[in-house]
Amino acid sequence: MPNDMANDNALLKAFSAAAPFDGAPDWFGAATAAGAETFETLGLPTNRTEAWKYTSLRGLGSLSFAAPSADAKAVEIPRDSVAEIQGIEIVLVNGRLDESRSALENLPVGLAITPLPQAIEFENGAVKHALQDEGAIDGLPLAALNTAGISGGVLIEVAKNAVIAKPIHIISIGTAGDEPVAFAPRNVVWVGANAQATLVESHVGVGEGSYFSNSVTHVTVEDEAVFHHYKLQNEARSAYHVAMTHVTCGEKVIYDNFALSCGAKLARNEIRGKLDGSEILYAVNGVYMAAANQHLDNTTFIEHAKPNSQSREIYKGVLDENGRGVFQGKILVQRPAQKTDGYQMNRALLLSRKAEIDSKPELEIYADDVKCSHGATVGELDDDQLFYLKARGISEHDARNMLIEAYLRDALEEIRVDKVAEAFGTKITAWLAERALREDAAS
Amino acid sequence: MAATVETIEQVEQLGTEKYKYGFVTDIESEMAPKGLSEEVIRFISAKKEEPEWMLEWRLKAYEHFKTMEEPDWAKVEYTPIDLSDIYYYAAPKVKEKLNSLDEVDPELLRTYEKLGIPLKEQEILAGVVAVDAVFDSVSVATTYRKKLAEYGVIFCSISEAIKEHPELVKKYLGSVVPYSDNYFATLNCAVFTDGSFVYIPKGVRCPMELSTYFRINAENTGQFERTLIIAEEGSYVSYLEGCTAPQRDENQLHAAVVELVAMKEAEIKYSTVQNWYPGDETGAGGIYNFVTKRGACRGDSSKISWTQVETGSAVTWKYPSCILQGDNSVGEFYSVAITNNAQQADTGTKMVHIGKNTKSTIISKGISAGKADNTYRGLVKVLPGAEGARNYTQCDSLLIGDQCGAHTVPYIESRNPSARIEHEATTSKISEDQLFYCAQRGLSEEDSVSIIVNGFCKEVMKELPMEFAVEAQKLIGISLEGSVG
Amino acid sequence: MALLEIKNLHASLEEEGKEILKGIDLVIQPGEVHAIMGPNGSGKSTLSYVLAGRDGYEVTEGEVTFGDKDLLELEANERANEGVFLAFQYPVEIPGVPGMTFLREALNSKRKYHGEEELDAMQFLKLVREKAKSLEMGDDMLKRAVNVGFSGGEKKRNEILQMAVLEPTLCVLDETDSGLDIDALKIVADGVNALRNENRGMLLITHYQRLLDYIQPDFVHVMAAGKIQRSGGKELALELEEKGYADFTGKAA
Repeated sequence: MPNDMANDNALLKAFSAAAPFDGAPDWFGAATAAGAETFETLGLPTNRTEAWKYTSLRGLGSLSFAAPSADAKAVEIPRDSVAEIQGIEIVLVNGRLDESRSALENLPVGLAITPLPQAIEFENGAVKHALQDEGAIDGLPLAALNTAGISGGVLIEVAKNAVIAKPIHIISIGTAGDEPVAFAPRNVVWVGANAQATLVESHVGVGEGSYFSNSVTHVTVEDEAVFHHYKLQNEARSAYHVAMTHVTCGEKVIYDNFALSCGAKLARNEIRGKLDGSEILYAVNGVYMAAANQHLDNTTFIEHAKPNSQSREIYKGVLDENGRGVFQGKILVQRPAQKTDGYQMNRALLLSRKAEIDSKPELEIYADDVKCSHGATVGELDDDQLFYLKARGISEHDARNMLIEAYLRDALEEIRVDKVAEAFGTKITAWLAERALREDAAS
Repeated sequence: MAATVETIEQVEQLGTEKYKYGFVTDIESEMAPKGLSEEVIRFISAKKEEPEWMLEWRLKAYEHFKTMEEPDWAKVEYTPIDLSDIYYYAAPKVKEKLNSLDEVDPELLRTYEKLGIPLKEQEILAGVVAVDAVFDSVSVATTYRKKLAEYGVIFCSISEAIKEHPELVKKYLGSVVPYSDNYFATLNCAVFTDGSFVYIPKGVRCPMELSTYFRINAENTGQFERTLIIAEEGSYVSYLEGCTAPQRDENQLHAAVVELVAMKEAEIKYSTVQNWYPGDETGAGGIYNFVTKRGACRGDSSKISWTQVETGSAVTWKYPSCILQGDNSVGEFYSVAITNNAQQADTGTKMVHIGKNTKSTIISKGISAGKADNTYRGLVKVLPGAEGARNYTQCDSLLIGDQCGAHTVPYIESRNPSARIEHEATTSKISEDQLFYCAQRGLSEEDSVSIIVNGFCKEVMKELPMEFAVEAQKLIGISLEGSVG
Repeated sequence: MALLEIKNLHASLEEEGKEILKGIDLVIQPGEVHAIMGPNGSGKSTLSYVLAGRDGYEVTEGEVTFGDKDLLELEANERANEGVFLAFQYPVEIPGVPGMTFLREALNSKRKYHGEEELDAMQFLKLVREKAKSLEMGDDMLKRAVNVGFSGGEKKRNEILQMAVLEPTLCVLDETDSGLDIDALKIVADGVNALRNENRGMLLITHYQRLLDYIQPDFVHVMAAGKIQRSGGKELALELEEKGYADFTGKAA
């Protein structure tokens, strides 16, 4: 135990040292201290903690991370790795906003993007609430660690009734030099009533070294707004990526989230949604593709607090080599949330004898008039489909690859923005091509 | 058809029945001193005239137990158990060793008659069920032993087995649930007082259903029974277990361990109808049912099937499991768990696929009413060598009223690419439409609920042996009384 | 004595307080077959639910006597046991409960209510098989769970079978013709006609005249806006078929 504590403290230090918020108001200092305290109490999670049963961060504790240096701005955006969409770009390098490459001005009417330190200084309500909300760090050690040492980020505000056609694109770049770095981006998104917008996040890496990105994003979607939220996690293969997204939805909101995860050595994508209104359509979906030495975790929590809302969740994964996938999904239906309609599904294909998948789909229901179901499947490709393709003269090898691609691409149907679906489709195809090369090399 | 028809008759009597097993038998008991200590364990072992190796095993478990902490991961809340306030041994006082049933205290025989379990063989229905009756800590009678012996089947209390078949007990006791397994199982290893022992020799199909009837009578006693069933190559046995306890205001602990071993091509079917006293409407009293049940499919093509209907107990914490070691072995778990008023149940199964082409099926039906919480918790684990493993899981929850909770927590872990695992879960309620439809056909509200819930549980109920199905269906109605309207 | 007498019946939806029935008067004598026709939303189905005692409706005014009983005082299951049978427009599925078990439970509830001996399994089986045969329902259909996986036609035949077994004195058939093809309609109508006798009254609720070609009513009533607007003989149905409900609703239906 003493050893773990020392590691925890080292991490805390690495993050705190990064904090660039000189002269921030007192409440901010208090929030930071609360984050540090919560993290110290909880410690770095291991699989003894139920919420981290399948994903231990023990390995993280043994690495010594440094705070990123300030001159990372020369880093090129690795265009091959990010989602290929022509969006309104915001660039973060090692958790800090690169203002020179970020669209902070001349934005479409109704859209405002403010660097986080400024938003804190201006005492922005949404930011203040996000940083002071105990619920956002309670029992969540990594979110608390983020609060303890925020490295940077932005506030995105979409005004009431505004329709922003162009996707907003946050590109978060991690760079690994001689020493692994640790950083904690914090972004706050506020979507006003009846507004519409799309946010795409690309988390990518430059270089071969290790780094640790521990991000937290707050999304508040006001009544009757529509918000599409997509994420590409394509970090460097030796990086650690832990991301928490807190979503709160008002009345009649449409929120849909899709995460494509293929990068990092260990990644956890956690989305906690509170459906605090009626007639909400809430969707969290994703695809995960793990290869050698990769561990990809998708954890979701959906809380139905009011009646008549619908939640949908479909994740699909492929695990190759000794890749490991984890899916944990929980739907909580509170007593007042009658007529809730919840559905949750995780499907996984193991492509190798060394791969592993662990799923834990969970329902916790306190209202009696609800329709909730969940499912999980682990399995092989459909024999009938395979045979059908072979009967048409396609080799077993090609037939398998075709079916795997079809299986993954099918999930993209859930994405509501065509450009994003295309960009993610390209990534899936590229991943499969890489896999085919590996197979060829092995045979 | 016959079973369902009979059920309806039984269901009709529901109106008049509450927990009818809540009486106390006035019988003199012999007890160990209250509390848990090495002395108490030595006392139990001495009382049972156990060999030295048995005592040593108990003490080893006790030493280990002292290092353990009570688990808290289940979704149940209860007043902590004060282990020092329990009698670990309570036995009806007998003057000397019994030679036949005629010498059993008539008060005891009357108790079992009241429970509907006749111990006099001539009264038992055409000899289809042999019964081992466990009263508080000890086995009071085992019927039909002679007839079973003709087939080479051993059916006796575990105490007798320790003395008379030490080689079998030594070989298998703790081989499925080791003494260090978990808090309550380890406690059981140290202090178990009695239970049933079954041995089915190679190639024998046990000619009758074997049954144990557990009864907690004395106050402040814990019941720690231990059951061991061994089915040798190519054999078959169907085993039934029933439980009741008197109505008392304080909680009583029941921490049993059941171990099943199925060798090549053997099959064990284990059915439970659990009706321990659930406590009153406010949650006062009732049994804590913390049980470890596990079966090992050791041989190829062996099969273990658990069927349980859980209606009683204040708190239930049990996960009958199958370790599928043999190639082509099969594990099944069929469960109905009903919680009403303040009852809590956290129950499910573990299916561990080790051998090739192993198959498991899990059908769980949870019904929650009143202010009760009902959780399904299950693990399906496929190890790398389990080529071609298959699992199908279906968990359905039914909520009656808006003060209760239904939860599903499956863990699905696979490490073999050729394995196929399917898990489905649904939650629903009894709809107003269904209730109105039944009422329009003349059914009272309670009959309607009973018939709808029995329909919901049908896939599990059909797995129960006939003798138990009727009782179980009746119980479902009783336990849901007052849950609607 | 009339079999059913409805006087100035007003009923509202309990939750919204919206009045659906706005003063219904109707008398059915033993042996008579009455048809109530009307456009969607006229309150036809509500009338059937109020007669059968479904929760969610509040009777604000008026009375309903069934024989010598005040029908509105009785619980839904008591009304059923007194002899009121509602053939549902959408029969409800009850998973896992075999049709036979359900029906035997229902029949024995009624027998018990009237202080009669309950039927044992064999007697009951014989009775049901007999009735089922004329409705072209085989044993396999009777063994299946109540209405689960039944086609529209099978569900309706099952309703008529239940009616035949329970032998009610008042049969209320709510849109029994909906969802039926012509062959199924004939089978159902034959089943209903076979149950016509001098003691039994029937109330057919339908939107279309089609059903009345097969089950000839003695009286036809037109219902609109929560009231019976006009009553007449079976020729009224033909008139409606030609002209529609426009005269009664103020717009073409």
